[in-house]
Amino acid sequence: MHHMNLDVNGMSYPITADASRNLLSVLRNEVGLTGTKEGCDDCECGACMVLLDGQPVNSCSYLAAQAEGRAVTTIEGLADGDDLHPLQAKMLELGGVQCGFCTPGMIMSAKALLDRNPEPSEEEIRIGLSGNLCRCTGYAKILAAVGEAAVEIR
Amino acid sequence: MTTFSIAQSLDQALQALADGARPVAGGTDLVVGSRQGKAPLPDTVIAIDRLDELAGISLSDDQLRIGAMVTHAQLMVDPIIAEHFSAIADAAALVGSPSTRNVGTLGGNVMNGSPAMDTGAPLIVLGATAELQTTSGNRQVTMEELWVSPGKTSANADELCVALNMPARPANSGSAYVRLEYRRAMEIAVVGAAASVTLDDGGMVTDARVALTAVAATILAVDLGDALAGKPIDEASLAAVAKIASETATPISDLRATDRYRRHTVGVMARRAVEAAGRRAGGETIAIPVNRTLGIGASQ
Amino acid sequence: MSQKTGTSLGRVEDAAFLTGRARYIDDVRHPLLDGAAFVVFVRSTMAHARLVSVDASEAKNAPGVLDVVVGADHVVHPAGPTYGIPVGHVFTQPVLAETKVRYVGEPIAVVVAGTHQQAVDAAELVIVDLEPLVPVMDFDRALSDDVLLFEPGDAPQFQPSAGDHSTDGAENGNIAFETSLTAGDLNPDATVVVSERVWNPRQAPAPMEPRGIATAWDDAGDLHVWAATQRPHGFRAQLAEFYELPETNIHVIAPEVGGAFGGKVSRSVEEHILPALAQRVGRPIRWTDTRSEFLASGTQGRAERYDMTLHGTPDGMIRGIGVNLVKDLGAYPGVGTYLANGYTIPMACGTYDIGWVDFSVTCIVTNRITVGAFRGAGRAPYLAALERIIDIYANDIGMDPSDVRRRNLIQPDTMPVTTIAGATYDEADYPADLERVLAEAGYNDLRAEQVERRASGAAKQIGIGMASYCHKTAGGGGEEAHVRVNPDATAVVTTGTTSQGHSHATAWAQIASDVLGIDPANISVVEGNTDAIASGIGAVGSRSLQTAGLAIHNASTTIAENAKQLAAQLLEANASDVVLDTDTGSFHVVGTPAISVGWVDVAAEMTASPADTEGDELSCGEYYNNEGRDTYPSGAAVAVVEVDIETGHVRLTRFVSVDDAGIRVNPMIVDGQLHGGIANGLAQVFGEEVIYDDDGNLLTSNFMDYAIASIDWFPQFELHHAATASSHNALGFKAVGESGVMAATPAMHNAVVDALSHLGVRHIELPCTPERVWQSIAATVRTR
Ligand SMILES: Cc1cc2nc3c(=O)[nH]c(=O)nc-3n(C[C@H](O)[C@H](O)[C@H](O)COP(=O)(O)OP(=O)(O)OC[C@H]3O[C@@H](n4cnc5c(N)ncnc54)[C@H](O)[C@@H]3O)c2cc1C
Ligand code: FES
Ligand code: FES
Repeated sequence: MHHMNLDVNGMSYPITADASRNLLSVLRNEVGLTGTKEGCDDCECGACMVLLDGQPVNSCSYLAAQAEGRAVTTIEGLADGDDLHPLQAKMLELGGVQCGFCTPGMIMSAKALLDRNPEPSEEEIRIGLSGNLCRCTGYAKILAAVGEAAVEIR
Repeated sequence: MTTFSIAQSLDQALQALADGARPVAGGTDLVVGSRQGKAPLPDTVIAIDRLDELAGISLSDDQLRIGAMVTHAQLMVDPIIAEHFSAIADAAALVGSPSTRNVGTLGGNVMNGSPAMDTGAPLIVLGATAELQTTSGNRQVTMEELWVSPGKTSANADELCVALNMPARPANSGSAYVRLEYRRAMEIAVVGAAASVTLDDGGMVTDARVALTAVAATILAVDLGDALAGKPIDEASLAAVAKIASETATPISDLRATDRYRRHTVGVMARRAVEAAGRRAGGETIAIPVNRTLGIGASQ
Repeated sequence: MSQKTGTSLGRVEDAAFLTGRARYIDDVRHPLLDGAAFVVFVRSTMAHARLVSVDASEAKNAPGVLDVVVGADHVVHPAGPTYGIPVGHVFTQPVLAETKVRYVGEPIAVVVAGTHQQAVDAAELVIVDLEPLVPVMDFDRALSDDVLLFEPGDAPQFQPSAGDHSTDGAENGNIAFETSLTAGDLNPDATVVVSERVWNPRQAPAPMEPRGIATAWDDAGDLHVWAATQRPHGFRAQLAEFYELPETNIHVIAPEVGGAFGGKVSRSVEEHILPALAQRVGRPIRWTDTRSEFLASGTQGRAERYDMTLHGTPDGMIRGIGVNLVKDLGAYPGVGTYLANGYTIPMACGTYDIGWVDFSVTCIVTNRITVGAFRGAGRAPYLAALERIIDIYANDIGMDPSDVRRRNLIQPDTMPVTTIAGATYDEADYPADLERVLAEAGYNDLRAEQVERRASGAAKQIGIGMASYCHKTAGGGGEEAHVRVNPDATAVVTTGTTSQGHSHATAWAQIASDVLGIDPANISVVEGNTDAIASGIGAVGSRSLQTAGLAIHNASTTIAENAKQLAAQLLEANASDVVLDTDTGSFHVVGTPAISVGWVDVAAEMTASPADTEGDELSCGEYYNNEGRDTYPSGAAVAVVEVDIETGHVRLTRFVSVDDAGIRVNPMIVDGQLHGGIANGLAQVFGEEVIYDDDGNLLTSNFMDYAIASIDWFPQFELHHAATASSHNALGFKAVGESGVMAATPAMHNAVVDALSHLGVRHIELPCTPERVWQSIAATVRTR
């Protein structure tokens, strides 16, 4: 068993878990934040996307212990109380959510994108979200929502 | 039960390796593989991604050094790489998705030794060597010596790759990497090709190299013979490159493509890589990655 | 202010999804599930084999193991006749394999343990002895009956009351089901006969959330099930039968479900056995499959081979269609078996006025996963084949494909119309939709550009494809809805439908709001809970709006009428003079809006005078059944592709469509449904295909190899709408959930072939992977 301190959404969580555990499973089961999803077992879907020091990481394929000393941000850490982040608000307004299962990961990728590139082109948004699969939406409204959120944030 | 630690110093990492630990960098091969059940996680794992000694990109008069822990995301935007070692940036920009590029490292890509790895062909055409270090010493091996067979390198278990080194580029040089892919992200190359080209003032090729991805047990260097040397890059010389590349390839058939298709398309990719490298050598800027800029390999 | 039908209201259910608060099956926490055990299935590694023995003794003694169950344990009755699938009982899948295994991944044993890892470890200790049989993978081999999947005596044990049916159907060999229709007369002027074999390959529904179940028995002996399912009530009915329990003792809840697309109809043996295991070990049980397990054991769709023959005149009049469909049902006939009669044959004419059809369907079993439903089931594959043969016909007679379609589309003035295949299409204007989409796409300019590119000999050639569609929806019977207005002027709508991304919470609220004048934000929707409402079919085959939507409307209307009675008392007026202003949600006497009462007042009046009423006037349940008056959403699309002649790589550069979904409750939601459908159709054209090797091993068991569309596959979709009200229901609704896929596949497919037609390419099989495209070019080069 491995002892680690995880910093998740600004809170510190002392955790004891097998060192082979991935960050996703520790977030969901030990930290108790189930907003981050598991959609595959070969690191292809992006449903598990979280931010590590602000950069996107597939939490399903990252050792939890390796995240020690870094800031983990999950979907639960995005909204400010009841106020939705502009990405969330635009997804709602423009219909970017259907079943919602890809949504947390999608938003985390979009957040990382906008943080490093506040004025992305359509092409850059596509690249930024290219690690997130969605089976419901055909992506069109997600693309639009991220584009509009970028404008709103600037 | 896995034991895990985060290396605080290079010495600590080297000692851990000497004691049987396996290094993990971004984990995008190691951890993903264990999750897919390909290979269980090693008993002892040491994270090396925070070591300063393995970070950074530096260009001296005659040599470029890329720390093994430099990520694909860093490579694709680094101005030195983009301008002078473009093929590496072309390749790094195609790896996985933003998150894969964010944690996946050059050292991990190299040491994983997949014949479909994207940075491999660029490293070969740019004449790179891997710097391997142990508690007792340090050696340089060429890429051709390093890669032995799919997933297997000639490095010993206690050797840590600390950097990739390569000679600085002569004037009027350019390089490019293109790959054929069925989709743009989260994809393995169906085939790929890198080229480096140096031109004389009259636009004749003085030096050219080509290497191929996913058409042999390891990344494959192509012997171009006199297909390009002393010649301009034109229809005839490009056709010769395509032919040699196709003939050099020894591809297999799998779910993604038959050997026949790979053999044909790797020629097309080699030709397009040389063409792009030649344009860059001639001073033209083609945005990274050329695959997208020129609409070469992917579906959109 | 209320939000009327036709408003693109942002979804009322979204906040939870956007903040990570939404609870899917794996997120469900409930006291009954505390201390849940985990299961791992031991699955067949062979596609076809005799099951010689299963030895679980070592596994049973492994650490943490609570139970190991094998087929011979007969812990629960198999599905058998309950599914109502029209095949002989011999084709029934045992809950765990008994005598044979018939697909790689078929459950042979199941291990129950305290932790998932313990179950995984113990599963490896189960020793399975399989004696290989020849796998039947090829359609023609299956048809030849040279190797049989099912022989007399193979059938699993049935419910005692059902008698011995163990050999029923065995006489048919590998053909589980056959049907046909021949109708009309073939005009003798049809001198052109064009034939082609058109495959529609297997696809996996692949919702982003895999399957999952949590189940527990309470102290009173009631069974509680949380399931990622499209059919909570249907699942409950099945469990009631297998577990011999009254339905009222079974409680099925579908929490948020992360997509389904036909992949979560809860008919799998994995789902059925879990309550039995929970009972045996006396603990709740949870099971969520991984992506690779889902792809390797969940149902798949499509898997159809069409031999199409078109009979036409030399000048482009289609006179008849001959279809010989062989459908692969996989190893155990499932939902896919219904599709031929229910959905495929009725669509024989597509959107065209055709005088003769000769349609035969042969459903075979092979050693692959069972074929169930997938978005567009039964219709999309046939329409794709029909639109393909029309293009081939156009090519052969040297006519533009748009002109052939123009000449043959059903005219609007004849509608509603009953086709020769027996389907009654409701109102639409197919010719206008085609003209509009051609105009929006700039069809003539595209053709001119194509001529130029061809002349230039460029490495990148363009292709233009089109398709017209309509498709049958609203099957499966009616739906029940219950509406209640609360004393605080909020409302609750309860239905038996379920949403797996279908946006019901918003659409249902809008429909009720239209009638009640209550803001949708104050209307909550309850779905996916068998305790909340007595019946429900669920979300299958684009049906919820035209069934539950009408029931909600009718129930709301009754409540509004009742409320006017109550308001009349307050306003001291005749009820017939009282109107409900649905913009404000207030009641007033005609002509005097200044004096009004609201829902709160009305509700208070109700409770104040309960004696006058029979029960609760502000609460009403309605059941709506369209009595066979199905709706046929329709449309047309144009796709433009660019093909790299040197590599065969295809890029979709434009997709333009006109869709007629009838009256749209929420246009934003409609667009989203269309987008998703188009993406499914696109993926089938460019890459998505379930592939098995000759030994029956699944090669596409993860998202690397099973390539669903990612965000970089698409141009911006160019959607246009027609919104012809259907006369088949009072609100003019049609449907939209599956429409996107209908035209997308054939339009894009036709475009790929069109790009290469000048080289002599006549047809390319789906999916048009770069290699296939390149090979078809290479083949014409060789023969030229
Ligand atoms: C979704 C996805 C998409 C991908 N797409 C691509 C792609 O397009 N192209 C491509 O080339 N690759 C791709 N990969 C593979 C992978 O991301 C790359 O190979 C990456 O560069 C590996 O780096 P890493 O730091 O994550 O390696 P790790 O997984 O940390 O390590 C890989 C191996 O190298 C060893 N190792 C790591 N660093 C050192 C060192 N310094 N010295 C000695 N040994 C070391 C490790 O022990 C391990 O055996 C993809 C992976 C995923 C999950
Ligand atoms: S769960 Fe699919 S990428 Fe992590
Ligand atoms: S909304 Fe369902 S997967 Fe994206």
